[in-house]
Amino acid sequence: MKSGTAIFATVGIQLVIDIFMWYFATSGPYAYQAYWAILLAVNLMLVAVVMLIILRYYIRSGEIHG
Amino acid sequence: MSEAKERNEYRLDRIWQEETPPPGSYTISMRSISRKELRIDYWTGAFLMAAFGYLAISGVLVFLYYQQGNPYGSSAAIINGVPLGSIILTSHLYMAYAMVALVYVHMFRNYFKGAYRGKWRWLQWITGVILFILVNMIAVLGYLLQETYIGISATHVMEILVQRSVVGRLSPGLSNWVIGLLVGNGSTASAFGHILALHVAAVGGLIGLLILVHFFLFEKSGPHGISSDSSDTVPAKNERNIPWFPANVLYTGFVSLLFIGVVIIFSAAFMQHLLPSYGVLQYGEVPFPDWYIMPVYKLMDLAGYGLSTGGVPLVTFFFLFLLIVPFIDKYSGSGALDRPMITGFGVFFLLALPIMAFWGYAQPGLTQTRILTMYMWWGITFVSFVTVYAMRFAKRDVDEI
Repeated sequence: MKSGTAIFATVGIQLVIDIFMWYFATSGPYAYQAYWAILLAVNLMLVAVVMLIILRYYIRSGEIHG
Repeated sequence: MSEAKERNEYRLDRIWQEETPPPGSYTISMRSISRKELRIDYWTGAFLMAAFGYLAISGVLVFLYYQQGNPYGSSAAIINGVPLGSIILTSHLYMAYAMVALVYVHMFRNYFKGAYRGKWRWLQWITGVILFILVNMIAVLGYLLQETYIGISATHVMEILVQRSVVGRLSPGLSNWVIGLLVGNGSTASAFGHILALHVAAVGGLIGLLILVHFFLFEKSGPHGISSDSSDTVPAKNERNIPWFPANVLYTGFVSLLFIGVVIIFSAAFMQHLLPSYGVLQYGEVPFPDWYIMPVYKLMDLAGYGLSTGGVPLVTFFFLFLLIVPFIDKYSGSGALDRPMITGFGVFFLLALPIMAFWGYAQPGLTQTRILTMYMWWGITFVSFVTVYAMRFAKRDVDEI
């Protein structure tokens, strides 16, 4: 999979997660806070995945100094 | 005189481009890294930075609701009455646990690797040991803040320790001043105001400043054990340098966010329940301190050698030893088995800390006899040093084959 496609796919998943986070935060900030937190964690991990994809793309592109 | 025209730059990615400073400037570099440094064990410090950052942010959120005049009630209110409050407080607690655990991992990793030797590495090590002490201090202060029975008991123990320490015996006035610093005039509002100020501003601020110094010294020396003086004219693929931006930043962000995500999942799975408040200790309930305090807690039972303050000299020795280790390690080799005495001490601490903790959970607050204490200490000493020297001999035999 191309890096750009992988990033778009990851961000797409994040947007879906965001909708559920919004739902849990507004409808049950006490009762559903564990679900909200798990989604937040998944969201952060997906940001980490995007960073890794960019890093791999950068290293492979060969723009290396030194 | 015509002035050089300077235009606004709106391409923010160019902010990372290298500038050539005028002669005489003092620069702090953000080092480029080689591909072989993109390994998680080189990034234990980044995990700690991530933990500190998360604790600062979640700490500010908790701080908005915490009341020093009503510590237990406001802690309970954060859990039960603030939207998402339970997850914020729980993740603040678990990230603090992670930070204490990681500070041990980071320190012992560099201890066994001998990363405290080198031009400025000794100073980096010393600031690291001070940070290690401060991280434990801030953790204990945070643990006192909830006004649980165990927290208040710990505060009382600390007061007694200060009074009975060498400082307290030589200068009662000074020990009273130290106690006053911790608990003010003793009223709830005063005591928790002091503890809060120490936790957030004094120790927290000091950690923030020292992290900067520690990080600057790291940037000055670079990662330990990476040879930059390769004799090959063309460096191997994984030894070529990649710039600090974006490679280092992206990798730091990657490991930090993964780590924060894992801690938040743990927090969601195991939400914190507040321990009973001070004064409502129930029959059959054994108060246990947090796990990172447990070794010291049990050490207090191990008077053993007629020391009225229990394990205080042993804890002091532990920290003093860590502070002077760069100056007493005269071995020429850099491997763990090339420095057997140093490694032996490291193994001793690695064994002693969990043994003390488990012993504390098994027999909390039970004063131990001198003979049992002797068996325990000499046993741990024997196992630590004999295994290290045996492995050293075994390695030598293998090397000779």
